[in-house]
Amino acid sequence: MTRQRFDAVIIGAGAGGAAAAWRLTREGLKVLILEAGPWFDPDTDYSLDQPGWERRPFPHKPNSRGKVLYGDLGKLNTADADLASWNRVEGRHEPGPLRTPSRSGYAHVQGVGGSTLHYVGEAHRLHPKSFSLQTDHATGADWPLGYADLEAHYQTCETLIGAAGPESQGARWRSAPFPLPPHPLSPASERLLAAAARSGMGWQANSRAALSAAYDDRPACNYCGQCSRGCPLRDKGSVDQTFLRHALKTGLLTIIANAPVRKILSGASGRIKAVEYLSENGPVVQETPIAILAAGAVQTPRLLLANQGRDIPSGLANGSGQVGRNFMETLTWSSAALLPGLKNSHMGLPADAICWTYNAPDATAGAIGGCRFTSAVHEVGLNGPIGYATRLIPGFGTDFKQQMRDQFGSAIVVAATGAVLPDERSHIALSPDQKDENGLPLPVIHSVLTQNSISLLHFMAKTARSMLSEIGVTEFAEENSSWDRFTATHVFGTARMGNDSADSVTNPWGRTHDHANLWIADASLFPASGGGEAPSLTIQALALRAAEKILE
Amino acid sequence: MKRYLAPDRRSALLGFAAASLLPMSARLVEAQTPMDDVATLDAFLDVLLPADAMSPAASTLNIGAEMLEIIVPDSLPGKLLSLGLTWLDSLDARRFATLPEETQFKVVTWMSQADVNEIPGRFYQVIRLFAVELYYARPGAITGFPLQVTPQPQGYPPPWT
Repeated sequence: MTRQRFDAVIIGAGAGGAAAAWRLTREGLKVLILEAGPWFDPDTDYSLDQPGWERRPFPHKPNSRGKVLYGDLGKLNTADADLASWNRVEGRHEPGPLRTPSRSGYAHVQGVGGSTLHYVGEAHRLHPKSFSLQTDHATGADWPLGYADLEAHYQTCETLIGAAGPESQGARWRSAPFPLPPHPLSPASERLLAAAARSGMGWQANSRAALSAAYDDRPACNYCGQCSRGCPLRDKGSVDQTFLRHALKTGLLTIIANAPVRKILSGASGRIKAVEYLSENGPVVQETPIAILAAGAVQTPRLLLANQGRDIPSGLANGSGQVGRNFMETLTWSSAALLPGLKNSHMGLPADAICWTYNAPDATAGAIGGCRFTSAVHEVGLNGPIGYATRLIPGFGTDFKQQMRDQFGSAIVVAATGAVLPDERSHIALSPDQKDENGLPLPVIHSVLTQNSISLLHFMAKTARSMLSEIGVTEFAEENSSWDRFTATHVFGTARMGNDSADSVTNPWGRTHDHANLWIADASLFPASGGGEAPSLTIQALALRAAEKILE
Repeated sequence: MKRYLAPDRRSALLGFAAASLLPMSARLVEAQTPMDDVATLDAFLDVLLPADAMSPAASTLNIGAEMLEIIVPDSLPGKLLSLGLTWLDSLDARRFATLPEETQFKVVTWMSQADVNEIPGRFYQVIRLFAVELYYARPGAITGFPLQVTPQPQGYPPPWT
């Protein structure tokens, strides 16, 4: 037992944990964050100034990824084979009968900053209509709150991050402008917006957690286009450079890295008494009056489910039986092509342009939930010659080398991200026989695409192809799809919030129904995924809202 | 210094090689070419990535040597490499490296269109992927591209068109 006293212990230093820590320390609370992964140093870990950079993804360090297993990911129906992933060099991927995890699978970072360290940095508010799916469409689940309940918190987060965005984003009404103007459009995005102006499609500058001007002692972005490999400039709004930096300045925040939590200890009253984590010197028990679980929609339910006891045989906070259920992955599609005449498409900011036209839950015919489209050359890794040579340009010899020089910089990509609805088959379970090195059962991801997802994927594919055809693309070079490969950068829903303790894990503020001092502050709270929006801003807004409730 | 492929691509190539070798292994004789046959590998890689007016050949950048450093001989890619080199050297009384350039080009052209479930086709696909990744990671290979050697510290400030 450690003698150090804290007012709150937060498990996880990602988007939600960092935002909660910032808010609590700002009001004078002494906070401890226990992070299972390591620190990353932008000066030494993100080696974008070294040759061979394209071969290096976001760096791996010991403990920087949580181990996961994959269970049922669904079967492939050949009637939907038009949704298969393929490229010109390797042909079609994995033509087996089962859907399998992609190379990256559940793509995440475990470390101080969490997945914001490798995120591209889109700063999205959820569509206001996404909060009421059940009421409006008799499917999925309603949020126990609405857009208006989060708007002020969104604004606070955007201000802290230095979000750069346009004057208006349609249904997403704002109480104040973005703190910074939008970024200039990259060459590929300029083409898409020019075509959109002709067709009436609603493309516009995306709202981004990257600085379009110097802000808060951080420099402006210099458009190297490599956000997902880690930002050495510190202009990207990852939480280590924003919420955590400011929280540490108060002197009230302690962060212990490489400290995986193994146990969350509760008393007879149901109150959490302490958490047990592993340090270099062995297990440490840390008492706390408030525990905030912010480990993400895979590790959070894993910890809750694994902490079983005589009084809680199905795990912590699981009186409803909903912990681990309602898992929602990311539904993705991308179409890529080489567009004659397009130059320097590797330059500019990733995901700098977006189309929200089909983002509302009822915006697509034949599927509920909505989706959005982005200009995605950089996001899919077509911003270096290796990407072209291994995926887009087949062949060999001098002709191949000349084609590489002639065509590099002409890649254009439209990517789509769509809603996923909860389904009985999709959940996080504990492995019955495999444990990590600390003795905790490994999480198993089960995630099956429903007919709604398949219909939405068809719409996403058709629309992405159509958008590219509008600008003169006649031949595609690569398509990537959730249909045959599970690739999830955003996952949701495994400890959802709600008004009724019978079918939700927490109340509308993120406090668990079963434990008065156990809170959750990550995407496991989401009752619905939204229509493809990047979730970090909503996670942060929810965490601020929870922290303010704690402070009351 | 030990060099590594990016983990995602390495696992993909391992999987690719494994998919190739499992059905093939039953009907293949033991490979006879030693793993250190750099000459055959260099010759093959130089057909894939020859010198031209802008950039050097693969062998000039020691891509073959780097590949042999990365590929573990007893691994599936290592076995594929060994079998493929054996196959290349078995085509003629002369070793592949000493064949006329036009003949080498015809052989590789045939391999590029061959069934990827047979060794020549799979060797071409897997070794090509390794080769282009290693080659285009070198500063000397990107002369003539609108690229800096590294994205930072300069970045690519606008204008871009």
